[in-house]
Amino acid sequence: MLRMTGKDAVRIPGLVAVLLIGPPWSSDVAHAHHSTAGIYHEDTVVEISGRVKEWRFVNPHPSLIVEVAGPDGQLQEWDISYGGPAVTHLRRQGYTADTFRPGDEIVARGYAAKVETAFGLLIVGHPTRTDGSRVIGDQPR
Amino acid sequence: MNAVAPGGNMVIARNHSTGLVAVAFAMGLVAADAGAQSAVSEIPDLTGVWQLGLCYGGTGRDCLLLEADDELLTGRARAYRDAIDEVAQPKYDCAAMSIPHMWTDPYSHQVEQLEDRVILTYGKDDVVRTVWLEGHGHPRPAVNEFFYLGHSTGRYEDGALVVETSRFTFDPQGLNADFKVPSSTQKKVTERYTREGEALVLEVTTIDTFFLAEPWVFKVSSRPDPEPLDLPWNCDLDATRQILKILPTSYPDDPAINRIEQ
Repeated sequence: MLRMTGKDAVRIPGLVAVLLIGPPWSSDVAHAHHSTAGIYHEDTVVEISGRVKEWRFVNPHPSLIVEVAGPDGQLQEWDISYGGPAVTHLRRQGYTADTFRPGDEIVARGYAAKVETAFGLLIVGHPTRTDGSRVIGDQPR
Repeated sequence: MNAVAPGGNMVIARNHSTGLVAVAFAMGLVAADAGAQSAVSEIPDLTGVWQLGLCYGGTGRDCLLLEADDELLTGRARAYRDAIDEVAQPKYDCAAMSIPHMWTDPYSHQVEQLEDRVILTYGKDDVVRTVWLEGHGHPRPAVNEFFYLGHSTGRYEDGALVVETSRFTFDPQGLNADFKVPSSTQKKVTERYTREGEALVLEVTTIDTFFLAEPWVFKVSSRPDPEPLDLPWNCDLDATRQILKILPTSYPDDPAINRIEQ
């Protein structure tokens, strides 16, 4: 299983441990009503790269499903969460319902979920495309 | 329904109808009108869309957060918090946040002042509250009537809109949905809206004899939001339950959770 469980994680296919780089969202939005305490490994930021399966720009929380190749070659379905932000918050940051399309290849960094029965990532910052370009902001589609 | 004109424009014209009247009567009339003007001029202009509130005099939002082990919580509140399963929270059924917890979420809201009521529209959960202004003959709810967002009455007082809300149903997330702190049918929320320059200042005081040892008070300041509310909210059940995939239940030996269709 493709999992990260701590600071000593090593580089494995599709998943790379990186330095802790800060909070995933603004403090205002972090105070929305979904405490993530205890759900994610918030002491380690990991990076995944994969192909977008689904992007749902809906309330209360938009969701991004990305297929990532695991070490055994099997596709793993990662549920990427933005945490507290809703459509209105992400829209003001430049996201739309068309920001991601099925098949887009992206890279995302964040905290991996602790539970071992599913693959979840609480995102830090914003995803990028595999060429390093941003998905929002100065790289409009 | 006509919008109230803040500043007392509705009664100022009455001073022009003097005529031949006794001086004493005229003086009394003027005095009475001055009082009416004063009362109406105390109506603050609250109408508009307002950004999320930040702590009064500050830049953050810590002042309005109830902590998991907050000293305001009673023993009942702590026992409930520890016993109830997170997955049983109504928010996973798209249930709206009630007040005062609603105000601790980072969304804009809209105030619409009408002649006999004030409409408060919140930028989340499609919540629209009606504040029934006193003195207009609005009926009170029957003793056995309770409401998810309570029953709100309001009045203008000393330049503020004061809203008192009670008659809440028991709410498993009525005081805090992060830490599972409920509120009872004895919850009462008092909101006091004033203007300070361009800012809307809201002070919220909540009492609940069962779950709060002392009143919970916070005061926030909001700026005008140049953008309209991003509504309708259209809560998506799958999206709100997404996190449950990675959230283990506290009661794994219980029967599997089978949610009813909505």
